[in-house]
Amino acid sequence: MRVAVLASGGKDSTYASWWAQMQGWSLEALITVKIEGDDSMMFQLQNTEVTGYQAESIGTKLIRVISSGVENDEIDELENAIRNSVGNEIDALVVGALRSDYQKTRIERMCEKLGIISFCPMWHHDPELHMNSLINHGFDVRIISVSSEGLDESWLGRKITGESLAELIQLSRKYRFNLDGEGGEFETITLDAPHFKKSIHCEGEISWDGVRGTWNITKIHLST
Amino acid sequence: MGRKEDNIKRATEVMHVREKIRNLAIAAHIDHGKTTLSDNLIAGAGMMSEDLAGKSRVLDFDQQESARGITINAASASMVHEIEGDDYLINLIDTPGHVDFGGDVTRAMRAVDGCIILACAVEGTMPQTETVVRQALKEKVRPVLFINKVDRLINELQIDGPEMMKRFEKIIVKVNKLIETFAPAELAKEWQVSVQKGTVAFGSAYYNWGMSIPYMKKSGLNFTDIFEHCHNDEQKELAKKAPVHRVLLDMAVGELPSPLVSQKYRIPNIWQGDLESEVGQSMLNTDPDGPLQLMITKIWMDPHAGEVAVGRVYSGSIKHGETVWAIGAAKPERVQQVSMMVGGDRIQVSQVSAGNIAALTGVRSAAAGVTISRDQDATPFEAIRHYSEPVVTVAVEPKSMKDLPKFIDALRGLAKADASLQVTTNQETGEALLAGMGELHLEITIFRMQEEQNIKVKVSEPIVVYRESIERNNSGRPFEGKSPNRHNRFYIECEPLPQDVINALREGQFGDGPVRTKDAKETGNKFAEFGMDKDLMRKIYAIHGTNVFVNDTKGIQNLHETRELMIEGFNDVCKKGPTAEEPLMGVLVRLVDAKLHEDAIHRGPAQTIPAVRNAVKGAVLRSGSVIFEPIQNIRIDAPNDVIGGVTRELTTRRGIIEDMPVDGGTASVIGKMPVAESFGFSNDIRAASQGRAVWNTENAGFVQLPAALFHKVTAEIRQRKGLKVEVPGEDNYQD
Ligand SMILES: Nc1nc2c(ncn2[C@@H]2O[C@H](COP(=O)(O)OP(=O)(O)O)[C@@H](O)[C@H]2O)c(=O)[nH]1
Ligand SMILES: [Mg+2]
Repeated sequence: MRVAVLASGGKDSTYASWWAQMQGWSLEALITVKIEGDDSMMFQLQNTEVTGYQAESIGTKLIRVISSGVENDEIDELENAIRNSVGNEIDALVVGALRSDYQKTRIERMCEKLGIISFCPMWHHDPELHMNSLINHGFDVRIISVSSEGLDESWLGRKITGESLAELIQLSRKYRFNLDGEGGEFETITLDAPHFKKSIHCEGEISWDGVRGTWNITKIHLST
Repeated sequence: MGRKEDNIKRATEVMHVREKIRNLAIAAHIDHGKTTLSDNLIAGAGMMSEDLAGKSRVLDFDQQESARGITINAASASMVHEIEGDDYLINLIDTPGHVDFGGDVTRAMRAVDGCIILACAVEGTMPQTETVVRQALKEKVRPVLFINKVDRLINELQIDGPEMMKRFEKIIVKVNKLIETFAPAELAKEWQVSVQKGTVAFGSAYYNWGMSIPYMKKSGLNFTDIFEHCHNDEQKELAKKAPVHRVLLDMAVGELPSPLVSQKYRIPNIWQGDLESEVGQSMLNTDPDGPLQLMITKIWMDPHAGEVAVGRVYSGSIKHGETVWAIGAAKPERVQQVSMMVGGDRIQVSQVSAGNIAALTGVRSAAAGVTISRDQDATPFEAIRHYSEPVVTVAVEPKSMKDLPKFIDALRGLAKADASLQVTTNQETGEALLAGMGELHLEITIFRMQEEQNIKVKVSEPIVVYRESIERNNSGRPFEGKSPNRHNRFYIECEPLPQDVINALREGQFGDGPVRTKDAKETGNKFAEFGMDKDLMRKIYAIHGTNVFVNDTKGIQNLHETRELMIEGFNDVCKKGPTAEEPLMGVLVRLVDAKLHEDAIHRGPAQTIPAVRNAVKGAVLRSGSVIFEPIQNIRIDAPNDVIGGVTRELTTRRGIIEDMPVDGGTASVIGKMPVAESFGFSNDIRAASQGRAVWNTENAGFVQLPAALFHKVTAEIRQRKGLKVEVPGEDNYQD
């Protein structure tokens, strides 16, 4: 099976690419959508350049798609980009969606039109088990944006560890948000994973508007 | 068998004869003699020694009530009264005399069918007299009148017969006017009280005698006899010929309804279930063999038995050892003891039947206002409406951290026993905020906790609870609130509610909390009766205090799914407004538009609630937010020569004088004073009048804070709450 992974650079798509490799499939490409606008209903916004380093570390190629971020257009833009690049080289697309029906149904419809299969391997995984499994398998996950009641700027740039996860669990119960960030509560980047040949190093700075904020990469490189 | 034991036996027998039961309350302005009278009734009926009556105060069985000489909570006492060889059972509920405990009066009224309104002959009707008459009538409780302290009219004021009649007439006219205004229309006429009809009696609770026209006929006594006995220092003899308990209990039996009569018209007033159903019919007929339906009206702490729940059995019989549901509780509970109350004594019985007052132990989830049934899904009684909102707060914490668990437990008990008390606790620091009806209300609550639970506590200075409201509206300029993820937006407009709607909300006429979709139409129609837009109000989502949330949008997909979260956001602002985090009052909040993420996962609580909260806060600010402060009616009576100092004291406290009637050597000052200025008034007025002024207050709602004080007051509140001193502008909620 030849597959591509829709990769945002965050924890779930990295997990998905690892999962695909563990199936013995051939990982043909990471596909990253770069949003030009300042908002998107579908795709991660921040720090998508990290996927270039991830692709290099995994040993696959990266396909960049530029999208407007306009609702309903963005999925068509992705479809065209895939058709014009790896459309004929892959049998399936793997995505890291967890519980967002919005994302999943749109991806499925798109894949149908492209004549490929779609896989959603972590669909409805228990959030707490999923987060723990990331830690246990050695994923180095950093929080790079927050937008939820209960999450303040102290979370920006923070690594997900046993300790910070415990804190996050508490907050998610108190404020009733999704522990895995599936409702857009936070976004992440992955700096290391079991299938990375090299880990990624980066520095960044915080930007916070009182309600929501981001951690923006200022320097990034692969370990030597 | 002693007289008391004999009476207990007779009481438990007559309890089952429904025509012969009278449930009654005595309600009065403070110090008009309610406790003195109650004791005399109980003593006269042989439930305590007659010599002690008027001195020992059985109904004031809380130690601190006796110490302070005011009645704090409604206790109950059953007694037997004999008329021409027939026994009658009188279940007497005492009601608190201080306005700070108004909530308790309303609850007591729920348990009874008739009420003796007691008014002091010297002072006449007072503000609290009016309040208690109103409260009785709202519950369809029939009033009769007792004019007390007539001995003082005769001996101290040296008044003659015609002058006495004039004074009585004045009181009667006032009471009848209240009945005309507040009684259910179909009963207002029949319930008018009159000396001739025998629904007015007069006398002296202290000297133990009473009189009424029927009793004059029966005994052959007349007005001249009364004057003579009083003038000749022979009130003891008068008390033998015309004992107050006989005169009043005769009146109660003769003029006040039995449960069999009153439940027919009271049940539809207090229960919204199907009157044709088995339980409905059983309640209308006071059927002792029907399904159990009981309403708890009071909880008190017995030093031995713990929590005792007192309530009225409207249908069926409650039996010792049976399993019942407190409607709304998670599990059924076993009734450990069933008792009748006889002053300080709780007499255990095997069951108490429909039409009576029962005391229960073992039902831990019972609280005042809760319905008890054998059926988990029984339709509960209407919530008890009480007309007062907390206006004063103190912070309390245990002196020693080891008392913390006990302290938190005690607070839980207090909140349960007293619905007019609001308790919020910080589990970590152990600090609790108690919000109540006034300084005295809180003082007594804390005193009780220290004494009964033996916990030493630290108490802060009292703090006024203000209200936030709006002056204008932001119609046509909705405020947009965004969720943190920006994918959900809510658009809110606010406008002030009309004053009569606010009053009706305060009285609980529309209920409180989320309005179920299936009830929205009916609730909306009720608002329309107040002249509000029917189509708009039928889209009501929720009521919180005196604020209303309506959904004024059309055809927005998925909106219904976020309904509960939007209500949570609305509730948050009702509890803590944008200006100073004080409760919001009198605001109509309209959702005029919304944009929602199609996917439910993106509009969870942590997204929707803050978005709505911001939208409502911004809309309130855009509508011209203002602060209201609680005020109280005040009446001060003092000798003419010190009244100047008294009025000065009132005016330096931003008081308003509305009237200054003079009556012989006594002048009265009637007016209003902000609660914020009332702390320490007691000491200052004593000094200003050399201790010769008598004063009374009553909460009288809220008025807008003078603009000149806005910044000072908001800064104070915000500072105390650890907020930025500056009141935030609407851009703070825009982001
Ligand atoms: N002279 C006189 N004093 C009375 C009478 N009834 C009550 N009092 C006094 O009035 C005060 C208040 O009475 P109390 O029963 O505590 O009033 P409550 O606040 O209504 O319960 C006490 O000092 C009583 O002794 C009465 O008929 N005549
Ligand atoms: Mg009293």
